[in-house]
Amino acid sequence: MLKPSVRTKENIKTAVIVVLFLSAILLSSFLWGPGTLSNLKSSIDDMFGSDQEEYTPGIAQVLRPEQIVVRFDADLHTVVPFGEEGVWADCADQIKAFSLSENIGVEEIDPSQIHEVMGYRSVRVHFSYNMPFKDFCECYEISWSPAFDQIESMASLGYSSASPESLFVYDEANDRHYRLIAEKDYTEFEAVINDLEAGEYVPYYSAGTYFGVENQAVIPLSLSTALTEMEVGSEELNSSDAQVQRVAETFFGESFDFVRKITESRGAVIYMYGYSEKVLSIKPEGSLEYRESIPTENLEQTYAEALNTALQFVSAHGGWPEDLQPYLVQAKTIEQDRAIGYRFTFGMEMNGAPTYYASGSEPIQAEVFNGKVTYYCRDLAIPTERSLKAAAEASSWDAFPAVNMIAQNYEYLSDILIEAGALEFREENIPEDVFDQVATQIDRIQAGYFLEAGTEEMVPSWCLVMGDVKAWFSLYDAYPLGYQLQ
Amino acid sequence: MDWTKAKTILIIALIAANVFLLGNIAWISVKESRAAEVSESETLAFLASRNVYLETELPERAGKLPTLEVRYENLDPRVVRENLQAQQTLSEEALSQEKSLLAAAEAFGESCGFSSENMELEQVVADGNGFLITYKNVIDGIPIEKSYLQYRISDHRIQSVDCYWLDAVHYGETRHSITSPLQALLEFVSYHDQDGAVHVKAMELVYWLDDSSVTQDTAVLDTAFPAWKITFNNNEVEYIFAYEELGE
Repeated sequence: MLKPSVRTKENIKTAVIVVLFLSAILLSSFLWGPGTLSNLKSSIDDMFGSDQEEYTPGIAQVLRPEQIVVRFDADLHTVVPFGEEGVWADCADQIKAFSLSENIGVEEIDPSQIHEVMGYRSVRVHFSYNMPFKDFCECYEISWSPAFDQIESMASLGYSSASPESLFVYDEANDRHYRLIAEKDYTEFEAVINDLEAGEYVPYYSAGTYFGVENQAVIPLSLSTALTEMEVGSEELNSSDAQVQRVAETFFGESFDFVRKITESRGAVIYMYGYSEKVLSIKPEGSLEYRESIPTENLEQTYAEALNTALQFVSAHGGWPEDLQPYLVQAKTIEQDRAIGYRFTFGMEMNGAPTYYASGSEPIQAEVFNGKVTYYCRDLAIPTERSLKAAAEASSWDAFPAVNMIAQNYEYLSDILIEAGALEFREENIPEDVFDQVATQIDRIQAGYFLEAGTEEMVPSWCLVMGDVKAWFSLYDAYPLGYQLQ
Repeated sequence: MDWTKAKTILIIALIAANVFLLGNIAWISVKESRAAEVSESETLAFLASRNVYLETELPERAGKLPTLEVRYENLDPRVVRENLQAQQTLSEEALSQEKSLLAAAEAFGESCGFSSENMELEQVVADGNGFLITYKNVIDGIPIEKSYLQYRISDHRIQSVDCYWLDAVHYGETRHSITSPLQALLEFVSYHDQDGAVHVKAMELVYWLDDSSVTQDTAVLDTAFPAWKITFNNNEVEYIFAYEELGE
């Protein structure tokens, strides 16, 4: 019998090693289950991190004031442009400096007192929501003083040169004003006011000065702006089956194989896990809505922790858009199934201006209970590249004067206020001073973008806020665009 | 380095590793089968203590199954109406033979544009002066639950067609382990809240989708999951998801 050569023997040995090695792997996977290899892969991913780390904005980035009103002299004010974050950063630094004072006292004051001190050179920072004062201090690294304990929440902060050693806090939820008093002025708010005064600014005067009514809300004398119409589209969440699946997989993770997928006749795709424990609906227009049951495990979170949970959830499920800057529009404490949670609503800044949606919805909303996001909806209007390029090259135009816009539309505004129950008379019995009554109700006016329902165009607009009413008018011709009752 | 020697040592080491792994697998499977024997009697005793009595044979374990994507198939009412009007009457001879009745029903379905390779005759029953012919929907031996096609024949004609058809489009990509019938019964007991005794009359593995949350009018495609259909007492039915990973 012919003996195999040494070379042949070696080749056979090599082949046997390969076969034995493969069979060992196969038997291992039988022994430790089919998930072993995928578990190993995910462990490696965890160890080295994922290639596509999603961007998450910091809490301080989204906790932005709705309006910063600076009063110079007499009735001359300015409002810091919405997209100008530097001034708010300076103000936050001054608040931090104030908190370094060793002995800070807190006293509750009357609305008339705050009104009086703000009549001097002052800065007033308004937020569109109330937030726990403790969490606000934590977010901006403001040293906590035991005297602050009595301040539950905060919606606005003020500084006045009439009392430079003080800061003024308004707790809107409890309708209480507080004065925080240090031994001396540790801040440089005066410098912030002087810098703004020395630069170019848009003069604002109070509604009282224009209309002869009792109203301190400020209105610009004139406004030059480069806001132009922006073409927008929805997100491409449902551009293909594969894309829909990619989005859905981020919500269900390893459970995705056990998720029920329903495709509706109008194109919506619904994913459902278990007995509706988690439901994701991706609509054909490119919006999505997700719900899951509130976890029974009671994991208490502070406002800031819950906000961070929401920010990270959005990053992992659709991400934050590249060309828009998110900011918190509303934050509310909510109760459901005997659990206390938070509802966070995010708006999007575009070209340095806020955006408003006619539907009344906001681009992103998330509810957080017991450390988990239990509701999430997303309906973003994304500007096209062409319109972004055009906006970058746009030159400035004079907006329709805000005062004239109010005068031109006061009847329309009175109808809305009647509908909202903010005016006591009826439409058929309009008094002579209706204009004054409307002018008294003005709280704020701001230039921004307005997305009309059913259109794909963001229109530059005036947004007029009067109590629970918001009304929008075309920025350049004052034509009414829509309104919303909250 | 002596490669020949190294290879020999490696082969011996790998053989040892394979033998060790095989031994472990064998030992685990023996342990599982013994545990299953013990657990069956224990489980039935537990069920009896909870007033649940098994009055049927336990089905066999099912291994692994994928999900099933289905399309809601609706018969066009206009087409059905036209075909009902245009049909030829059935002779007395045809009415006396089941084969002829079935042929007439199938021909009618085809004329309405309906056909499915998963259609399986469930029953032909006399109904007053006529017959009810019912088809069920079965894929690879597993019924797609609640899906049926039913013809009502009387006065020598097909009088009506009733249809709730879930057309199998394709299986899901991954196959997953199915719970044992005993596990399903335990889950059934864990949330079934009923006064009095429960007599389980039948158990069957089916493809099932919970149609309470969707309607045929809005949904086009849906996903059916393997589920244990438990029939008890007076034909009451409960479905238990059959994926092990979905078990509580």
